[in-house]
Amino acid sequence: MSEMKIGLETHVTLDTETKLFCGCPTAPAEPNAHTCEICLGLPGSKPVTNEKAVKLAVQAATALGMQLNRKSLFARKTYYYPDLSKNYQITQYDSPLAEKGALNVNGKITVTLTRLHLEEDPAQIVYPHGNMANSTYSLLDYNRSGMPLAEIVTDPCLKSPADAKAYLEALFKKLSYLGVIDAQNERVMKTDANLSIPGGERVEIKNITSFVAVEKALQAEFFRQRKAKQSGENVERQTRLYSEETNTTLLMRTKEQEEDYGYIVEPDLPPLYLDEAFLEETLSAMKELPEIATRRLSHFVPAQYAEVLVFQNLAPYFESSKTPDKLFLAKWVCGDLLKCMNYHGIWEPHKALAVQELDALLSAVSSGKITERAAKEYIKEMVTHQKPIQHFLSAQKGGEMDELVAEVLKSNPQAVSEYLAGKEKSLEFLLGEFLKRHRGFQPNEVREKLKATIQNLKK
Amino acid sequence: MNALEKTRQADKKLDCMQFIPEKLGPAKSGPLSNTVIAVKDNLCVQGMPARAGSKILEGYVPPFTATCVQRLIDQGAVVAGKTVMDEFGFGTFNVNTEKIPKNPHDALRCTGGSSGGSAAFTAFTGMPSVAESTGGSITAPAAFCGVVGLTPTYGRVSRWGLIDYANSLDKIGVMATTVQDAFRLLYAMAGPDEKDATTTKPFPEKKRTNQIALLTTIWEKTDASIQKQCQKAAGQLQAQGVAVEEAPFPLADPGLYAYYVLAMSEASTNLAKYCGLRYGIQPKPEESETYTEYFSRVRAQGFGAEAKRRLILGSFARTAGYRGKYYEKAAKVRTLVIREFKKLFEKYDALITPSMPCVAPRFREIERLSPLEHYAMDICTGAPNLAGLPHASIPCGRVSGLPVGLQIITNHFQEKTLSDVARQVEQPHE
Repeated sequence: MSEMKIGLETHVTLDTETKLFCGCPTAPAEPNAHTCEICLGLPGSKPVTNEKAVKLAVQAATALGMQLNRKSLFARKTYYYPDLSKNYQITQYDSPLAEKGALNVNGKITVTLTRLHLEEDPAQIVYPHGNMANSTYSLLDYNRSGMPLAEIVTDPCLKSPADAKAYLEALFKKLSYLGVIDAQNERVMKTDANLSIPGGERVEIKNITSFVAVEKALQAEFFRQRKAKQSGENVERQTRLYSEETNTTLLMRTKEQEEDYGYIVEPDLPPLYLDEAFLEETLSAMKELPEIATRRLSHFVPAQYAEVLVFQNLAPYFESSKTPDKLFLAKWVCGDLLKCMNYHGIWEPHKALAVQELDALLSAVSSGKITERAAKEYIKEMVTHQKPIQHFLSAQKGGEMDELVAEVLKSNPQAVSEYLAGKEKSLEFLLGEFLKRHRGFQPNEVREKLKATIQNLKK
Repeated sequence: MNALEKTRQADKKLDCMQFIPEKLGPAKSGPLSNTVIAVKDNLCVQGMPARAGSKILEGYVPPFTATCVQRLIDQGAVVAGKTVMDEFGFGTFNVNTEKIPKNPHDALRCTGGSSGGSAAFTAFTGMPSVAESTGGSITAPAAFCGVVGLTPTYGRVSRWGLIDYANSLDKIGVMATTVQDAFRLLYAMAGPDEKDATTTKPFPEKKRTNQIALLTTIWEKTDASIQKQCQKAAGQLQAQGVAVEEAPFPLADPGLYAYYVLAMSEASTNLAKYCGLRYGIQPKPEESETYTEYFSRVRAQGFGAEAKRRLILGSFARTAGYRGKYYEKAAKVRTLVIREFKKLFEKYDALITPSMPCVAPRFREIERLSPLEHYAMDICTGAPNLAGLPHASIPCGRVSGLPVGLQIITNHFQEKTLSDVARQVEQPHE
């Protein structure tokens, strides 16, 4: 198998309320509803940087082990296309926000990263009848124009399409965990994949959305390049597109047709300085890195539970519990509690069940007051109807009392007959026997229960 | 005669207006009530067409108003119309556009540019005008038309709503008949704006040293008759106890070249948005096979020759392979120019030069000039504009009946000193 070199440039949409350079909302809307002078590029408009976007980008870079550039510059990348409202994109060129990081993928490979920078998204082109090749006209939706992107570039160190897919999955997992990207949004990550084989030039495949498609595109492109080499052709520098229908890559433009973007420093924006106060605020607001949280929890519970606790947002809740048996606790939190949460679409565990309630429930199970089977039923009701544990324990106590009373009567048949014959004292005797054995019951309640049960026996 | 009538008269006589409203809007009450102004046509006023001197923006009506103009309106000012200009600011004589304004002192001569319409309007009507300078576009027409032209520190006035020429160089300023009026209007517009990330709070003003430098390098590049007039103005300053010394400024020429390289590079990106897709002219899109062919046709038809020249040069200067040699180098020269000025300001309150190398040329003389000869006319204004320094052109006499201006330059955010020195030249007998 010949060696291949793969590098990926991934654009992730940062999860902010408003766009990168204007106050338009990022939430989905009717086409062109979320536009203004700035993202439409009207003459006289000027960009202003969204601080939240910078914060999220800084958090992403930090989580990826990158070095932050305390001063970075925005740049204009000029080219002509209908989806670019100013016919230039504000991006970062010479001096990006962060450089040199790494991502460990599944504990097997480490993917080193070249850089991370901020840039705005162009508008969306919509083909009402088919695609670019056959639609009679195209429509432009500028809602996407100006959306905040972080571009993450890997070194060309990936060795297979499968590794590329694994990297993207690990990247997605990490960034959604941090809250840097919105995991519910299908289009939150777009990738340009670069591939070269020995003796050939690098080919770029642009704008692939799904991770599976990235793997397939690279595979298809590898075959194309290998075949070309075998036929004695040169593999030339090109930009291509991946077609899902044919599972092949198609030529978009050759290196001669490559545009010169004529980068200049963006003169409407001062340099982006990350000062001490800003960094402190940003990094302290960051969630604990997942690998660190997982490692910490692995001291108490097996790794697979630790992973679930971390990535399902259960770790802080787990750690605030007073249940002493952590494995037992993890089984319940990652099992029945999580099931209930998923059933009801609740993301935050304390909104599903107060941790004190869970502790009380588990304590009742460990002390034998209730069976595990009963507890599995109770937890569902506690989450669904927000019923407190006391409700079940007193009801339980009622049922429990029945059993215990029956026990006492069974053990003392003589006293039962005597009572039935009219001897009141025998009831007190039976009560005494009961209270000797079992704590936590109201004597009057038990007396009534004894009476009632004996009456039933009589019948 | 009311303000609107006067404006119409000015336009009839001098071709200085691009747009005049049917009637003047009701004035809000405030410190500027009764102030009627004209606005250069690269500043957006909601509801009034704006084309920045270019055919490509014909029919465009901005949906918002420039911050600086809005601030004036909020204080009671009223806009009497938009003034003609060189296309996007590209020009020193205001001839690079369809409607060319005439000098109020001689109809066969130019007004100067690119804020030529503003200067002609102010000279004729006496009313002030909001104008703009990138490389000298307030100073040149102010000098040629005999009015006060004030260009503040870069970043002092918000550029939100200014149709860009070169974002790191554009400054919004004022044309007026007196120094007092000019500064009054400036301070009414000035101040940080959250919509323009390049605005900033001014530094504190420094005390006057009462020493002024006459920049010989620039002085010597101007006509002898101009030098004579400006020398008289320098004499007036000396008579008031200000020490005037001579000082060289060897970076005058490099400053001018660096200005042009940077301005054209930035302009070539700013003008990229004009492509007949979202606003402006849309000449028969159905006649084009592809988008590329369409927008190329729009731009070929919509831009004038000078605009095209600057687009080509500006794009070239930032192309891979040439970027380091031109764009980046010009940026480095800019730093050196600023440093050179800062050294002078350690000793001097202000620097003086003639505003322009000559009086307003005739239109037929201009026709014979090469593009480079046009650019060379900015020799006095290039360097201070490149450095973003505040400066003013004050009328100081005539040569053969035509106005001459003295350029006064001060350090960043030292507009008070500028105002003081300007008044000393304007009114020598206080």
